[in-house]
Formats: sequence, C-alpha cells, structure tokens
Amino acid sequence: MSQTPPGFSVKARDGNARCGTLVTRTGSIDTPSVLLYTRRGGPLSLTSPDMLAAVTPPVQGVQLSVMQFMENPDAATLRQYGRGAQSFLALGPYPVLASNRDPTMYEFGTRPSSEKEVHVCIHSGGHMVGPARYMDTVAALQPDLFVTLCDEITADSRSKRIATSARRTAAWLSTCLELAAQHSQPRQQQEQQEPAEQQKQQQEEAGAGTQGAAAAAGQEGDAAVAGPLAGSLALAALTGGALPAERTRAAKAVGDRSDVAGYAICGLGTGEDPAQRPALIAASLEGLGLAPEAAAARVVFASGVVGGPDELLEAVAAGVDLMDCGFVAQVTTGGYALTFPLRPPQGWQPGDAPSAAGAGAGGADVALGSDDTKMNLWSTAYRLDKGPLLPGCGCFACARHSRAYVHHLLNAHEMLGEVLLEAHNTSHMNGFCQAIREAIAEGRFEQYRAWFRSLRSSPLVDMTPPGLAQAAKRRASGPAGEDAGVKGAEDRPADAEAPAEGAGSFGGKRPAGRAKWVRV
Amino acid sequence: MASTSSGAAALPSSDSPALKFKVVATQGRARSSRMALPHYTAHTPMFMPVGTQGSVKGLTTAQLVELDCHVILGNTYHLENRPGSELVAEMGGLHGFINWQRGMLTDSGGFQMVSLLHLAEITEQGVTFQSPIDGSAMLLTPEQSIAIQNRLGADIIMALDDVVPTTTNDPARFEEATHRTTRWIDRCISAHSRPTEQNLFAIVQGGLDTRLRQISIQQLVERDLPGYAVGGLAGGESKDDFWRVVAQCTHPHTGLPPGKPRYVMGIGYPLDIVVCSALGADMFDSVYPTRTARFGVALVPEGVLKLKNAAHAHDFRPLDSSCGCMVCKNYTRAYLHNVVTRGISSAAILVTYHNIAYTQALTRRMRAAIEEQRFPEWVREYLRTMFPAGDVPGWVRDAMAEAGIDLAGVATDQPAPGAAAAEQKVGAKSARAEKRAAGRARGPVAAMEAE
Ligand SMILES: [Zn+2]
Ligand SMILES: [Zn+2]
Repeated sequence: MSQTPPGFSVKARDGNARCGTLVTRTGSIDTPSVLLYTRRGGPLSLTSPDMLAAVTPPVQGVQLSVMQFMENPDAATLRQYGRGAQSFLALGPYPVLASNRDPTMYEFGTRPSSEKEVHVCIHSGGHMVGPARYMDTVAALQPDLFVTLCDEITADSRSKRIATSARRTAAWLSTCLELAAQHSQPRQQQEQQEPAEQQKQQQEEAGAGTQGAAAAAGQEGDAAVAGPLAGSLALAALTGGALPAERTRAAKAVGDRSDVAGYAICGLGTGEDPAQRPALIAASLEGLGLAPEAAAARVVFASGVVGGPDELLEAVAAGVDLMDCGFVAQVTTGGYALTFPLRPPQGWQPGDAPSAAGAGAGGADVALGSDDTKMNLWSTAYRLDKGPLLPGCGCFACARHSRAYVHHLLNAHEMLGEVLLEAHNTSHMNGFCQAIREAIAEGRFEQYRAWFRSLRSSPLVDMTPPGLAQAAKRRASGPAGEDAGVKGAEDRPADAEAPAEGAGSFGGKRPAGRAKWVRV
Repeated sequence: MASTSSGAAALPSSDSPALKFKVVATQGRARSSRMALPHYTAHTPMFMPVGTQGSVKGLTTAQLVELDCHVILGNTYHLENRPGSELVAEMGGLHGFINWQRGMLTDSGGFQMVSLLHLAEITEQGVTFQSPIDGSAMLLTPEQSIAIQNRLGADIIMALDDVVPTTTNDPARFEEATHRTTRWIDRCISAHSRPTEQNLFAIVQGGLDTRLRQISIQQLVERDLPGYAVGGLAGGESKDDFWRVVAQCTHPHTGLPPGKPRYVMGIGYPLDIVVCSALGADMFDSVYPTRTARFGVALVPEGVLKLKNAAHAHDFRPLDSSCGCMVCKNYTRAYLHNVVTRGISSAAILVTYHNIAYTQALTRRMRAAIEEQRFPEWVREYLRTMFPAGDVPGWVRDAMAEAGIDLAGVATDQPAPGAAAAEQKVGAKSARAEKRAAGRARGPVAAMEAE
C-alpha cells in the first residue's frame, strides 16, 4: 500500500486540462484516465484477471454501478463475503470506482423518484433506493472511490425538475457522507457481519462463507478493524440537467467540502448535444467556487461524456480527470476497432496538412459506420486482410490476430470476436489517455487538441450508432437482460448495425470462393 | 507390436509419415502415449475441445495453451460454409488463420450434415443435402471432404463415413453402411493430397453389431492408416451398448492396433472419458464441457455443479477446490451464480475456462496414474468421489471388470435405480435437450456435434 494518503494532486495543467495522480487505498490512477466499464461488476467479454492484465497501457481503474448490486448479489451477500467488490469480482489490482449509474443505459425515471429515494431499473427489476440503502451497498462493495446518490434526470428536464433534483442530490450528499463516516469507523469484529444472517447461512450450507470467515479471522488479532469505507474517497454528485445556469446553481449548493475527494458530474450523456457538454461541465465546476488550491486537490469524474475520442478530449479540456469507458462497450458491440491515431507526427504544427487519418480507415466503408476513428470489422473488405486491427498496435489482439479472423468471428457469432475487439479498444483508449497525459505534462495539450481536430474536416459529433442507444434504453427499462441468457454474440442488437451480407446469414450474394460444396 | 506387457522395449508404437505414436506406459488396458503430430506432440489420453468455427467459445488461443490443450477440433461443415476452406488456405491454413500453434483435427463434415440438415441423404456417391443458402441439392463426396480438409490443413483429418444412428432398427442399413465406409475410405485415401503433412484417420462403423464392427475393424486396419476412430457412438445408444463397442474396438488382441491412436468420437462426459481410457482409448472430443458451461454447469469431481441453483447465491467457495485454474483461484460460486447465464460473456467464458481446465486436469491425472502404475487406485478414488454412496452404475462396473479394474470397496451399494435409468437414456441432440440433460452429465452427447 502506498505511503501517500488517499487523495488527488494535480501535477501539471494546460488551460483547464490537468494531469495528476489519484492515490487510492488500493493503488494510484494517472489522470486523465478512462475507467474500465463493467456490467454487474464483470467486464463484458474480457475475463479478469488474466485478460485485464493483458491490456496495455495498463488498466488504470474499474468502474462499476452501485445500483447493479441492489439484488443478486445484494449488500448482505457482499457483507457476508466480506472482502469487497475488488475481490468478489476478481478485478485484479485496479482501484474500483463505484458510481451511481451504468453509462451505457439509463436506469432512472421509469417511476418517479421521491424526496427520499430514486427509482432505478436493474437486471432484477425496479428498486427504490435511498441514501441508507445506497451507502449500505457502497460499504459492502468497499470501493476505493464512490459517487454519492444522485437524483438523476435527463437532459430534457425543465427547470423545476432540475431544481428538485439539485435539492435532493444536495440533501442526499450530506446523508451519504454521514453514513460514509459511520461506515469508516473502526468496528468490533462481530459487527462486521450481521450475526443472525451469518448463523442462518452457516446452518444452511456448511463450508460456505469460509473465505469471508478466513479473511475476518486474519484480522482477529485486532480488537477492532477498519470500517469498510475507511480511506475510501467520496465524490459529490453534481446534477443540473442541460441548463448551465441550473448546473451552476446545483454546484453552489454543494460547494467546497473538505469531506469529499472530488466531484462526479452527473446527468450527462442523457440526450444533450455533445457540443454543449464542455459548457455544462464548466458551469458545474465554476459553480463549486473552489479556490485554485482546493480545485487542484479535487478529482473530477464524469460519466456519459465519452461518445468518441473527440468528446473525451473536450471533457479533458473542460477539466475532467476521470471518465467511464462505456464507449468501448458500445463500439465493441458494434464490431468496431478503434483506429484513430494517438500522437501527432513529429514536428506537427497547426496549419500543417492533416496527417494520415486513422490507420485502419483507408477505404473505410462509411455505410458501415466506419470513419477515421474506427473501422467496422463486419465489413467484407476485411475478409482476406491478414493485417492486425491497427498496424503498429501492440495490444493482445493486434499482436496475435488478423482483421480477417476477427471479421470471421463476428460473422460466425463467436464470442471471441468481441473478446479481441474489447482487448484492442480498451488498450487503444488507455493509449489515448496516456498520450493526452503526456501532452498536458509537456504543456502542449492545446496543440495536441488542435492536431486531433485537424484529422477531420468536420468534427464527429455522435458516433454512437442510434440503435445502440435505443437498445441500451430498452435494456434499462425492463428486466429483459435477465432473461437474455448467454446468447453471446447472437445477442447483438439487430438494429445496431446493418452489416454486409446480413450479419453472417447465408443470405445475399456470396463472394466467389466460399463454400465449395458440389452442386448436383 | 501388439504387446501389452509393461516392458519398455515391448511397448507398442507406430511410425507414420506425419504421426509418430509411442505408448510410454500401460497398466491393464489403459495406456499413456505420445503422439507426435506435425504441429505438436500430444499426450494421450487427451480431451480435445471443439472449436467449431475456428474458436473455442470465447477462449483465446493463449488461454487454450494455458489450459494445456494439445489438439483442438474444427468442424469442416461450418468452416466450409464460412469463411470457406479456400480463404482459410489463403490465410495460412487453420493454424495460421486462428493463430494456434498446436495440434488440430477436422471432422469430415458428413456427420454435421446428417445431424443438422433435415434433408441429408446418403448415397454411394456421398452425402446429399439441401443447401442452407438457397435450398438447392448439394453433395459432399469423400473426395470433396478430403479436399476441403486438405485446404484447412489440420494435423488429423477424418474420413467421410456412412454414419447410421445406433438407435436405427435396420440391420441391412448397418451392413450397407459398414461396407460403404470401407469403400469410402479407399476413396478418401486416393483423394488425400497431403499424406506427409496430415493424418487421415479411418472411422470404425458397424452399429451395435459385433460382427459388423469386427468386419469394419479388419477392413480398415488392412488400409494401415496412422490412426483410427470409433464412430457411430454417443448418438443415443444405452451406456451398456456404448462401452461394449468401445471395449470391442480397443480389445488388446482383436481390436484396433495397439500401436496406433484410438479416438472415440463425441465423448465428453468425464465419466465416459475415464471408462474409455481404462478400456484403452486415447482421444476424445465433445462440445459438452464448453456447451454445458454456457448453461451455467461446471464440471467438478463430484459430478456437476449447476450454478443457477439458488444454493450457490451465498456459496463463497470456488467451483472446485481441487482445481487450480484461474477461475477457481479467483472466483466464488456466488459471483458466477448471479451472472453466468445473464448475457455477460465474460462470465460464460469463465465457466468454459474452468470446464476445459477440468477435462485437461482429468486426462493429465490419468496419464500420470498410468505412468506411475497406480491407475486402478486412481479410478477407484475417482469413482468414490463421484459415487460416495457406492452406487456406481452397473455399466461402469461391467466396463471396469472388462478393463481389469477391481471396484471392491468402491461399488458397494446397489447401482442407483434412478441413475441407471437416466444413464440408459438417449443422448441429447439439441441444445435444449442438452440443457435438460446437463445435470445428469452421464449420458452421451451426439458425436461430433458442433457448437
Ligand atoms: Zn490493438
Ligand atoms: Zn477451475
């Protein structure tokens, strides 16, 4: 464990962009960074810990949604287990950030929230979640960072609803922090678990719970052990919809608090114009009214702000340090490999002719959604392509496999296709963040940003295939995911993409030289 | 060459142009062997995971190496449909295309057609079937199957055989199929264009008729192929019929040559693998371990663990405490219980990973036991763990008696009547039927089924 106490420090800044180090009780995160996306605590296709360890540059941290632990498993189960989400989910050595939502779906609003609780739809159906239940779950997860409960609203919310959201979120912040303090207190051994529950379990199944018990036994020498949230960093939720003035007002209600390590800008990626986002982020941060030294010690997390590399860059330019990586889940599910270049050519100056765009984009099939940031491996153009997903990429997938193989795996609905794409895309986003950190540290972030913008004539706005957003909403709106079963790639949202050849069906024209059955 | 003595000098072996087989230890009928293939020296008895379309259900080839897989399967029918053998050949063969440096085996494609396509029909020419693309009549001949497999480039390729389900009640059809399989092996041999790089295995047919099986063995052995398979099993016959056919084909004197590899097709239940190995078989394949994983069923020494069972919601033990695999080292049943069949691929892959770790550890332990001359003890311990009440099924008792393994002190109780009934049942043909059968895990799965 690090000697430095948990907290954030800025190492360098360039405009509002900053690079820093977030020390958590598990390990430190270099910022700006994206956090690995998980669903119910599991990466979508990469097995942990082996395939996460293969990601290069390394995974900085993992994001999970507290709401997905309201049931199956719930807080009681996790407490009984006793060693927190990082161990329960085998998330390796990476710091865990527990956030209040899943960036790829919108779980709220099916039923109205109240002054006391938000309504959230998860895999097991609808739940009303108030600060107590929320923090009880956070404590059971034992994350390194957590976002306080937020009354989430979508970008189309009107002022009155936004004000309500701001009032509730600010009130819940105080409650959450009080509860966090309680959950941080050293406690007697027997308080670690609920005795009645524990006994019942032991009667029910001898042998079960031995790991949790062993973990507890290891600490038995101490009369009291640290509370589950001791050293865990709180991020205050900031709401405010898509109106800058409301964002500022909501942030003012939170303000500078010494008991938070930073802030979570909530409510983004819910339908607002991505071009509007930097202003919304700025409004939230300005509203906090932090003195420069306080701002430099507070980390800023934003969920739902990354719909593509440009959006990530703009969020960083607005002062965001940590972002979710739901974007990788979306491009991977669509069969894309990210191909945008990570570093400008040596000696690039503003005004130079754009350098070669995404290495994979030569002859990109725009109809398939390919552009100069990503390529669609469903495209038949890659049937015989022996090259790696991205030439020069040293990731697990590119070091071992060809575009042709990945194309085949997608066509054949084999899970391995998404494994390889997720490995590459995760590595690529980590490489992007690393390049951004270098640029900020070297004081050339604005130049980097100018170069990145020059790669395309018109900025890419929304790269989320429209069907995916719908599919995500559908998933979130009901327990459909629960019954989805393991259909693997067959589960692919049919409306997400319209791959050539009817997505691997036998229909349509078949290129010569395919099946060689003898016709009689 | 057919010696069964344990003297090192007398251990059977064979030397084919692209395959060197060497038995390194025997105990009773069981043998531990090394099979040097063009890409890898496999250790047998071995289980070969099925990679139908060029991947084993979400596992990377790096993971398959880590899991100690020596040979993996590809299905000719599926691979020819997509991406096509010509494309695969252009991409460096299956090995290059999927980046797998160890052994590979492809099937003939015939069984897939018969089992997957309703309108498949076998004539002297080959297997005719309706094209899944446009419904037109298509034909797979022995020559065509071999040509495709030559392009795919696996270390071991399988002859196109005339498969009749063992449950068919038509002695004349079995007679015809047995002789046709022999006629077709000659056509396969003539068509085989890469005999120094790929090994053509013949497949013994004959249904449950010992006379026909003996004819098939004799006719195929005369062709002096690098290895032999036992076909037509795991298709719904009773376990009693099943083991007797295997025992006949692996018989030390009248069975397949002891110096050559013997492959029982479609076998993936751990108990079946143990029984067949005790009888002297070397190679097995089945979709069972990987398919059942996706339905949330983990293989464990006691049998199977149905992860969806509510009892696992608070069970913080690993899947199998005796398994040292990546999954068992890191995960609890409680975690997997919640996510395994819930559309999170990584969770399904984790159980798949463990199940392959299980089959590979099982065969590794058998090899070590044979080499250390403690195989009967090992079998007894295996059965004691799986049948703690001593209710070892009758067919296992009979097969072990044939294998010369004394089950005194292990098979103590009467065979469980329920278990016996379940085991005599026909094999699961569909994924849905497989799901139902998953818990039993002791009946056959259709041979060479693809995933
Ligand atoms: Zn790559
Ligand atoms: Zn295991």
